[in-house]
Amino acid sequence: MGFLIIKRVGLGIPTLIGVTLVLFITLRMLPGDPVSVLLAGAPATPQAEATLRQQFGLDQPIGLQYLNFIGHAAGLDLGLSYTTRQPVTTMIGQQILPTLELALAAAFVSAVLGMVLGSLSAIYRNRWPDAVIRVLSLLNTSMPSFWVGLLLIMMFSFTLKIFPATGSSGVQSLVLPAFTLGLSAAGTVTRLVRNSVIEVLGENFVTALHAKGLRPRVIVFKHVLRNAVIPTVTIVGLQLGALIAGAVIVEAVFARQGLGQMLVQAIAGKDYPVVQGVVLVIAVIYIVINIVVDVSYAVIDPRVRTVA
Amino acid sequence: MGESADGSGPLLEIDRVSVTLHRPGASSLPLVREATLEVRAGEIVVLVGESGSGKSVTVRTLMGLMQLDGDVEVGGSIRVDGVELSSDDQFGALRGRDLAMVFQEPMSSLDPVFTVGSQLTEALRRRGRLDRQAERERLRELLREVGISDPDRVLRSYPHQLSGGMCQRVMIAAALAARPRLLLADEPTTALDVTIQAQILDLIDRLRIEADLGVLLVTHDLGVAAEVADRVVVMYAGRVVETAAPSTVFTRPAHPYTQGLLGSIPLITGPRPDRLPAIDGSVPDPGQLPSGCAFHPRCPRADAQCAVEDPPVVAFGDSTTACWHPGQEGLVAAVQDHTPPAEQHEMATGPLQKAGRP
Repeated sequence: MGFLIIKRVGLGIPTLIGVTLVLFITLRMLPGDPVSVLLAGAPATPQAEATLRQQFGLDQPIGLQYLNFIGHAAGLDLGLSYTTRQPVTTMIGQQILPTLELALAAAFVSAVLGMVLGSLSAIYRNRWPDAVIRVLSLLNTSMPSFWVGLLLIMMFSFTLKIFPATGSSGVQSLVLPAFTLGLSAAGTVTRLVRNSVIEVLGENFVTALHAKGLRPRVIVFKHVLRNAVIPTVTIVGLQLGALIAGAVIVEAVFARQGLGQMLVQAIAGKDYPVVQGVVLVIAVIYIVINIVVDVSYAVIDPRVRTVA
Repeated sequence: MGESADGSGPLLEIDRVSVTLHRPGASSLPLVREATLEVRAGEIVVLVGESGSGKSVTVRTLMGLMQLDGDVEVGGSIRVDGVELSSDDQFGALRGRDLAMVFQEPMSSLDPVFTVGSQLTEALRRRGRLDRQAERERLRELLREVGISDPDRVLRSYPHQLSGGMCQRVMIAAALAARPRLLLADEPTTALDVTIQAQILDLIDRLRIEADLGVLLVTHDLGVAAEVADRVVVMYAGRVVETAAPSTVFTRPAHPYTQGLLGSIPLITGPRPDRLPAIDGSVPDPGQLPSGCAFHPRCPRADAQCAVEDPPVVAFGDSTTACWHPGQEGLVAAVQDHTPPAEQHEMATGPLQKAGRP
């Protein structure tokens, strides 16, 4: 087990280098220049521009800039924001919790909805509950999350006045964003759980459990679900990564604080260190989730436990 | 059917049971057609036939397992201890108690994510709960009964940590946990190698004697039938074509299909044939059954009537058979000339099972 974790962490390092390298180059290829954005409006002398450029290290060759960034990042120093002049790590530290909160709540929503609806769909396959669930999940998958978010706000904030439309304080304001983001993933999880449960229902051991005289309810909820959950964990885990990315949009819709809002503003303001820092942190979270998924396999699937 | 001479009725009787699979947008498939057979306590009945002959479907129907699929229609009568079973609840109440089943694929018949101990406990609790200590002790006892010498290790194991033979012993232990009166075994040895196969058959036969268990054993292996059967039931294309004692089946079979099956067994003694005799053609698909007797396109004795009318079940000699022209005519030379396989098996395995039989 310990070996498995070390191996996975080791494999994460080249991934991080790849992510930052691509990001670094793409950022600098985009039109626009941080210094002119920063000095926009103000009458700037070429000398002032050169000073800023030097201050930000932008006068150095791009390779050297990258090595500097990597070197500092390894020491948990992500540099200073061009706009706020605050350390990026501090800024991320202030914004990461609301985003994680949102992503985890959304993952919970999608996992629970997906498991329940997927199992129902499988058990009643080709009958009306299955048809209803499949149509709903297809509908839901096809709707962009900003649209779902607006619908939820209209219904639950303006008409029913149950939950606040915006803000990022307390559980109340978390419900709508979490459902908006969670619903976007729930459709996929539902279909996956459905297929997985149908596959397990066709296994020999399910017939054998019937032959043992177990009640159908026990067979489905104890044996079939436990087996069907194994492939589902990977997808829910991978989606958690995607949910953090999806949080960018949902945070904008609900005017929530978080990494997403911060990233959007940083991209608009050409704030290279902030963009790099946020993306790096998201990449690290993604890799950590993957490791957790691999380890959790060993917990729920005894066959993996013996091998690892 | 009905009461036997000693006054005790058969444990299991099925009378003209038909199983039909309805498919939306396609014609229905007759999987089993009017199958009739019975099993008494302390008796091993062997159901033989090629793949696709309806053996497994018959056994699953007896357990009420086919009926769980909404597209399956079952006709005819299934009686256990003379009580007619029809509803899912009736079957559900007997499954895992009076009726137990062992499957062909032992490795895939156990849930991979639970320990053997927890799966056996489930089976045990079909007859009510005991306290933990007593349950544990009973499980150890069960595993020893099926020839497992280190029950504690096996109870802690997951199925993938055990061999196929071990898994089959565990399946048999699970089947026996609730002290059934009838054991249905669907090709229990097909996936196992020959030595393990013999041990498992031995075990089933021993349990039959010790627990007065009625056993319905499905196999496509005539050698197995010869070794343990009290009665042999031959199925072809969903019908029971012949029922008789093994001595009759292996020496004087009445149905041309049974004769064809015997002819295709390679014999150790005698001259080696250039080519193993086989029955021409193959088992028809249940969707495309020939008219009349389903065997007639492959049958050497078929005439015009066979092609039109399905034969009724008749008594012929010591057999009950469904054939217009029962008899030994055309019996493949190999069977007549050499020692019948039944006796060969006895020579090979010694006085293995026949002793101690009621």
